[in-house]
Amino acid sequence: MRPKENIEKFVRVRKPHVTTSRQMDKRTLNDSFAAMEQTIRAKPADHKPSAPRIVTLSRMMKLTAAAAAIIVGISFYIARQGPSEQGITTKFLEVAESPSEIMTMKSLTIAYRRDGIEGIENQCEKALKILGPQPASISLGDLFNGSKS
Amino acid sequence: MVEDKILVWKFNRGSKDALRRIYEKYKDDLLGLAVTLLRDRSLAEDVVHDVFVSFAGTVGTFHLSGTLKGYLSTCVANSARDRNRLRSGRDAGPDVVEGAGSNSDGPMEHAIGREESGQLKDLLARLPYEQREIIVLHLHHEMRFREIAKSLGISINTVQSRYRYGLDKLRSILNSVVTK
Amino acid sequence: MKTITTKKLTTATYVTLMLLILASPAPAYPPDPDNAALLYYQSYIAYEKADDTMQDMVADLARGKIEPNERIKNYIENCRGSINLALAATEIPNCNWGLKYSEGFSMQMYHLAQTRKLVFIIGAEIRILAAEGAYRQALDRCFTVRKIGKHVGDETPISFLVSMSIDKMVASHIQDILADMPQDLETLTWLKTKLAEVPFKTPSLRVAMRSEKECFSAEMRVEKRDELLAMCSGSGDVGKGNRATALSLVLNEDRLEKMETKRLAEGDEAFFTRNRDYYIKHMNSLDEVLESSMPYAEVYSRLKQLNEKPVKEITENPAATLTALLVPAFGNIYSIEIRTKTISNSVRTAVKIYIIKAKTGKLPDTLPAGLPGDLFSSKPFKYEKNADGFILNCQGKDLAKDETYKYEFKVKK
Repeated sequence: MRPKENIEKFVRVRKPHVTTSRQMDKRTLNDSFAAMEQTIRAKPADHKPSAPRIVTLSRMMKLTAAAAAIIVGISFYIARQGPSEQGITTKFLEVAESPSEIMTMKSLTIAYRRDGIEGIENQCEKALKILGPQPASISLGDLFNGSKS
Repeated sequence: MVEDKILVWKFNRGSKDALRRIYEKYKDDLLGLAVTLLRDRSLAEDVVHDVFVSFAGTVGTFHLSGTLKGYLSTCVANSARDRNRLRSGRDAGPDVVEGAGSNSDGPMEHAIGREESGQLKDLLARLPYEQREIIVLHLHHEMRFREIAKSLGISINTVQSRYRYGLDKLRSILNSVVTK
Repeated sequence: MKTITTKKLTTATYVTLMLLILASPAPAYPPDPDNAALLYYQSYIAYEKADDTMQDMVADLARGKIEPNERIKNYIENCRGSINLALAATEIPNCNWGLKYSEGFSMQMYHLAQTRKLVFIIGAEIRILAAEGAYRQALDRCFTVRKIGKHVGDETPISFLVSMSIDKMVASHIQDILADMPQDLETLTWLKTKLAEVPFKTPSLRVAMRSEKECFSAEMRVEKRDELLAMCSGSGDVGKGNRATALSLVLNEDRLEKMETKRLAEGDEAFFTRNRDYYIKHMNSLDEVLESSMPYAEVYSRLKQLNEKPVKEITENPAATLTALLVPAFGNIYSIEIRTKTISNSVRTAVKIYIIKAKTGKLPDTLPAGLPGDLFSSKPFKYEKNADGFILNCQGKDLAKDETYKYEFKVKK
């Protein structure tokens, strides 16, 4: 028998090794999936557990998501519209990469596989040219003035 | 653990695969905990089942503040305690009574005995439930006293004293076995 | 007509964002939100859109290829709001970009492009400040950029690589500023302390690799066949649900042997399961090597051997197919990490030498002991003086590039 000083070690090393049965796994997973679906269904359509929904759990994350969504939203909108005053969007749309694909993990991984770190940099350059950070024809100053009028 | 964080992210986005992987990852450990606490495999399976079903229902809103394993272990411990209260209220079974031995094992208990290390199961069974719970969470599930105290809603001093008394009792049981 | 509509919509969107920010219980800036990404995202929409020429000029100035001019200075001044938001962001340790991991290969990582752009804008500002003699401010901005690099983080190997690239750029800024500035002991001592500070986060290749393992293993399913084909073929523009197109792309580009392509195109669930298991085991082996404390050459060699294993097995073992085709050469990524850290070490060592010069009026004859060294060899740099200043030579070779580096530091006379 172990000396009493080793009691903690004795308990620790004799941790029981129990394994679940196949029936238990099946029952638990089926019921869990059902519970999961029920929760998802119970939420209104706009509250489906999509990324935006989850991200908005905190106020700050809500703002982060809003800002990100607006950047992407504006960029996509501008990229998909016809020619702007400067004709910039037309020029950008001629670039071969698709706006929805250009900065995905897939495209970036492929870019890296092809050209190393320069591939990633080139992809970032192309993304900025296609999607752009904001429309060229409007500044934040214009926005505030516009909103006051 | 980053893997757990990613699994939780995916789970929150409705990924059944993530839920399955969380289950696969922790099911045996959690069942082991429930079996040690309740000494009834059937009840233990129910506890783990209920914990996962309840966890699945939090999809989209689940927030992980500590470790996923710690969270799930706490849920199992809390659920096991509720079951134990129900059981002791119903029949005051020997399992929850101090001094109970393992001779009363039924066929199901035998099944557990085959899977467990044997001797420890009998020793832990002689401890009051509250002491057994703390010892198992701390030594088998590597939860800190502070973490246990928070999850069980008791003070850290209570946790430490239950742990100490539990170990003292185990020592005295072991010594008595040695002297015999 | 269309332009007006676009403008109106854009205006409305911006105003909504502003209202959202203003309507929150506390103003979002300057108070401390708990997520730096929020401020970065604001910063991205606040900088002035530049035409291609200006974008190139900003990048060239940030890289030290051209001197500042009035046009660039005006542009950078117009980006002041954006820079200030970025500065505020770097004061917040936590940064969650809100990546949608559940989208797997299709996960958008647009923030990397924006962050890189921001780093160029601040890089240009650093060069302007240095050119105006505001060395301390310029150096301080370098640490802002360094923090941005840390925030980019290690959520994926791509993020990790961008983070390394930013770190390298910071080292280059500091190296150039040190060459231009007079040896001011106070500034140099401050710089030495700043360089020794432990950042709030150190991106880790292991973390990035584990994230990739999670993402990729979840994608190794029959339903993801098209994306997998696209990834393996190297084409990023494959239409969803169009397996025939994907396959023809693969075959036309001749990037894969027909056998592997056929396996992918015809593989059943069991094929993908076996591939997933093989992949996870392979990634775990890579992780074990990275976890070890072996010297660089040993780690690189083992990573290389591991990477070659599935390629060698692919003919006989169909379960090795996806691993052979998808796993990048982690030995090379590991080398990039060591290269970046070695460059940073060279800057820290150089600062110590500049301090000696400031104190004694001359460069030391030998390198003082106990300074950070070359991580390729785990030995100190070999130091030599030359007409312009001094050179720190690596003693070990970058095995990925088959090159031994030397870092030259100029000293203002």
